[in-house]
Parts: sequence; structure tokens; C-alpha cells
Amino acid sequence: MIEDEIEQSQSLAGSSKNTGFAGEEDIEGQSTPAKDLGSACVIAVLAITVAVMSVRLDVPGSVYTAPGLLPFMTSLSLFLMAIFLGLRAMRAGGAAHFVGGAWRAITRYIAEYQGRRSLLLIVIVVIYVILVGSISFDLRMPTPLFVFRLSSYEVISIGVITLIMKLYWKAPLARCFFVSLISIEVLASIFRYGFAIIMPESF
Amino acid sequence: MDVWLQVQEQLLFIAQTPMLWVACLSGVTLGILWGAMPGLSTTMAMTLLIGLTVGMPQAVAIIFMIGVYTGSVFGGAISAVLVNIPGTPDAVPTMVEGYALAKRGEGGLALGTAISASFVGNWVGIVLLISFIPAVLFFALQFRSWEMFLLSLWGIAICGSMSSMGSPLKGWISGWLGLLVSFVGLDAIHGVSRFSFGSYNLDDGVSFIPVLIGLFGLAEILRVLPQKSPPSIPSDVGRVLPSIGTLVKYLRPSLRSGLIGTVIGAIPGAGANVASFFSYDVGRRRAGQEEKKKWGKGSYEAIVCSEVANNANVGGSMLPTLALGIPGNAAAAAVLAALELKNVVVGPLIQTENPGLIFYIYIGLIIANFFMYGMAIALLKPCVKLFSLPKTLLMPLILPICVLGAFAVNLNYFDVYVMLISGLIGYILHLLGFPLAPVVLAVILGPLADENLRRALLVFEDVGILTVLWERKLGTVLLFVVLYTFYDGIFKRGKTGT
Repeated sequence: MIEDEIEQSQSLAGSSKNTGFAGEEDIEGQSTPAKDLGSACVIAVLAITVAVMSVRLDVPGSVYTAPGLLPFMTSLSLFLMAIFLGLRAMRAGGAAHFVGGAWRAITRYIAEYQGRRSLLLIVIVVIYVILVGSISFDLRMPTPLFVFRLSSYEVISIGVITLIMKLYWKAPLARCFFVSLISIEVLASIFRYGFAIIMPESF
Repeated sequence: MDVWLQVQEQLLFIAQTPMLWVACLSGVTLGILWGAMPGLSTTMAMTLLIGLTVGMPQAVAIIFMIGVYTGSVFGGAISAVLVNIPGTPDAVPTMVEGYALAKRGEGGLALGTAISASFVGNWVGIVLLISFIPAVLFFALQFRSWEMFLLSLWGIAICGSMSSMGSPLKGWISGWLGLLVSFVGLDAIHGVSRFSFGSYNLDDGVSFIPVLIGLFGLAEILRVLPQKSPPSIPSDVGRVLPSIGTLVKYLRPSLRSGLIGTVIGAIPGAGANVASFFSYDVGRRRAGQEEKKKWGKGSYEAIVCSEVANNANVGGSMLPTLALGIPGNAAAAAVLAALELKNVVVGPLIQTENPGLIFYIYIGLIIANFFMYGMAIALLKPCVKLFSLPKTLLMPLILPICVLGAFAVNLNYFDVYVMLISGLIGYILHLLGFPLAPVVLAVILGPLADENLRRALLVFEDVGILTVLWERKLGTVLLFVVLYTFYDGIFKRGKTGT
């Protein structure tokens, strides 16, 4: 627990130093030395992997036009940046109880209310995208005025968006369904009739 | 024929044809609405709306596309300011500043400033181009492979520094990760498949639009929606248009940003993204001490710098498109496609083969600019009302737009998976304190940097370094600028990092 407090205070100290421009929102406040050290390790491994893959690429012409030239240079410089990031994180105390701290951070994220809600949302979004990509139908029902069309994208979207609204907006189910139905149908109509774009996985 | 005679002739033609005014207004309105939808870009608007021009006469089609172009560039600022999701990558600086203001209940004035800045930016771009066409063209032609590579590299570096000022290293890492993504697919010179693991979809490369939608759209949904009480913007619009005094106060940064936007727009391939970030950076450096403190926390001057530059870029990007047949950016490439659809062959002979067309296009830009100003003001209050709905209601509705937006780029569902993965990575990067803007910019500029570096190295194969430095003076200046950007980040700003 003491390490957590130290970590948090280091993070706060880091962000409070930026009294002026902080860049894209307050992302500096998000980082801690332990997180930076973890990121540095992952980035270094990624950089080495890409460097090796770049060297193994075919070289049809001169070395100056080798397809792997810039990827190699980029991954090499990315590796150096990861080393600098790691060293800086270690200097700031990121190495102390790194493994235990990382595990604690993950368990804390899962235990927290927001963390659990984030994970649930990620699972729903992943399932939604996979469902739209795998289920394919396009119903056409002629009416006296026009041909009413309903694709798998609309049906799945209405269901999933209703669920997300029920979980996060917390309005009555009927209201969530109604808002979802209207918005998805308006969106689909704009794309289908306005811009002549077919719905995903429809035909 | 005398230039002014041609201008008068085009003015008279447009004034006497009401259909052109209707087409322009429709284009501007559609462009603003498209750009205002979170994650849907100018390029997509241009590409998809080309289809509507098929049945239109040549003059109507051209002015319609100009309207879409002008409207959608501004439209990106609406969702950037009100929902923290930029319509286009060049709206990212506006997003950083505008959303901070919107949370304080100044969303109306932030957008009003963006509208006025966009209006001024368009004017600066048009006036500068009409006045200095030969000079700008000469300068733009000095950018060859070596200079284009350095310009791309500098764009990514400056974006990295700007989006993570306390720790430029993390901004650069984000940019470099974006570069790695941009290398996926067949390489442009030999057609060798790179990092595609046998996937035909990956052989085509990773399109930047799904990446943009994922990083800024999906990641924002994943970040904001689970919060116990997500931040929302006040529905009270407040004052919208800035006072004349405020506009006069920002006259100098406006002119400077307009110049930057126009010149960068005239450089083939550079685009509004580089212009917007560069102008934002220059603006911060030149700002007074008091204003500098507001930078990143809601600065009106920063919005002026970014919006003037990306709108001046519209006029600038049209010059190489029309005069050289080389589009200034992806959206200008769509204009080129629309022109070719109407049998207009652009290039050095455009004035001979289509006399007066350049002037028609610039008059079209001026008219579109006025319509953009009017429509933006008319649509502003409803947009603020819409986006001030609870985030728990708004964010789920954006999710299907993200899916449809990513799919609509190539009508390929693989892009939706790219959007999903980009969103998840964006969420993790945000949790770890890495900025997202450099990733997108690098995905856009990566292929440009890659191709131009290898071309330049081939040209310089038997030439000594000193000769290159001496003979390519513009490149040498750019090289020092790139090196200074890294020096500044490491030794000046880096010292204040965590």
C-alpha cells in the first residue's frame, strides 16, 4: 500500500510540474513510473521484433530502396526511446516492486467500479463488432410507397445499443429501445438512401 | 485574355446562375453536417459525395464539391469542441483547446471563434493565392523527395512534442508506433509485402480513417461511458460570436497562421494536418506569457491558430491540384477525381485548355466561405444542444456511427476490425499516458516519408553528404528544424517531464 501511495504521489508530482501547457488533455496525470517502465519493456520487445522482421524482408534492388529500410530505422530509434523511457522510469522509482506493483494495479483496476464497467463495455463492443461482421441478412418488404429494408447491421445495432443504454444510461428499457431504434434507423437511412452506401455485411 | 476580364466573366456567370448558389449551399450544409458527425472525415465526405455529382452539369458539380470541402473542414471542429472527438486529424488542436472551453460552458464562444477563424483562414488562403500564385508555386516546387521526407518526419515530431508537452518522449513514441502501423502492406517502390502475415487485407495497408475513428471515437466511448458521472458540456450556448475587438486582437496570429496554412497547403502531400499542428506550435511559441499559460487548457488564440491554418490550407491545396495535377491532400484528390469525372484535365495546361476555371474555383471558394459562415452560425446552437445531452445517452449512439464510418471508407468490414483494434489500443495508450494524435498523423504521413526517403537516397547514392547539404538548401534548413525540434524536446521541455 505504501508503494501505491508513493507511486500516486510521484504521478501527481509529475503532473503538477506542468503548470503551463499539458498537451492532449491531462494525459500526463495518467502515467506513473511503474506504468512507464512496463510500457518501455513492451515497446522495446515490439521494436526488436519489427527490426528483425525488417531485416528479413526481401531487397529486390539497391539497399537504398530496401523495403525494410525505414521500418528498421524506425524500430531502432523506437527501441532507443523505450530504453530512455525505461531508464527515466527507473530513476523515478518505477523498478521498486515492479512485478508486484503491476499485478496490484491490474487487480485494483478490475476491483474498481469503473474498471469493471470498462471491461464489461469492452466485451460488449467486441461482441457487437464480431456479430455485425458474422451475421448477414438484408430483408426487403415492399410497401405501397417504398421497399422497406432491414439489414443485420440494424437489427444487431438496435439490440446492442439498447443493452448499452440500459446498463449505462439506466433509463427504462422501453425508452432505451425507442431511442436506439429511431437513431439507428435514421443513421441507416442517411447512409443507405442519402449516400447510397450498403450496410455492413448486407447485399 | 486579361486576368481581371476572366474574373469578371466568371463572376457574371455565377451571379446569373441561381443553380450554382443552391448547389454551393447544399454542398456546404452537407459538408458541415458530415464533418460534425464524430469520426467522419473531410476525405470521406468528398469521396462519398462525388457520387451525387454524376448527374450534375460541370459547373454545378465543381461548386458543389467546393462547398462540401469548405463545409466539412469546418464541421470537424464541431464534434472536436463539443464531444472531444475530432472529425478530422487537423481538428485535434481545436479539440484539445475547444473541449476544455466547452466543459467550462464556453462551447458556443469556442465554436464561434472557430467559425470566425475558419472564415478568416479561407479568406487569407484565397487572397494569398490569387496574389502570389507564381511565388507559392515556385516555393512548392522546391519540395522534392528529401524535403518531403524531412517535412513528414518533422510533422510527426512536432505533433509528438505538442501533444505531450511534459514528456515529448512519449509523444514521439506514439508517433513512431503510428509509423510502424503505416508500413504495413505492399511497399510503394518494389511491391514487397511488409508485416502483412499473408493477409490480403493487410497487403492493402492500414487506412488512416478507421485508425482515426478507433483512436478518437471508440477509445473515447470506452473511456467516458463507464465513468460514474461522465463530464458533459453545459447546454447554455452563451455568447457565440466573438467581439470585433477580440478578432482584432487575434489579427496577427490569424495572418501568420493563414500564411502557414496556405504555404503548407501548396506543398503537395503535406496537407491540413501538418499545417494545423505547425501553426499551433508556432502560435504557442509566439504567444504572450499570460496566453501561453492557457495553452492546452482552453486558449482562444490556439483555436484561431489551428482553424485559420487548416482552412487556409483548403485554398492552398487547390493550387498544386489545379496547376500541377498533384493533389495537395487526400480531400483535394477527391476534388481532382470530381474534375476528371467532368472531363476537366488539370495540370500545367489548365489555363490554356480551360481558361478561367482557376478563377471560377476561387470565386466558388469565396462564395462557399460566406455560406459556411452563415450555415455554421445557424447550425451551431442545435449542435450544442444535441451534444450537451448526457454522455451516457450520446456515447452509445456514436458507436454505430463509428462502425458505419469505418466500413464506409472501402466498403470492407476488415476496416471495422482495424477500428476496433485501434480503439482498444487507444484506450490502453490513454491509460498509460501516451497521446493519441501523433499515432494518427504518423499513419497518414508514414507512407509519404517511406517512399520519399528511399527515392532521395537513390538520388543521393553517389553524392557526398556535404554536397547534399550545400545544394539542397531548403532540405538543410528543414533538417536543422527537425534536429532542433528533438533538441528542444529532450533538453528543454523533457526536463520538466515525469
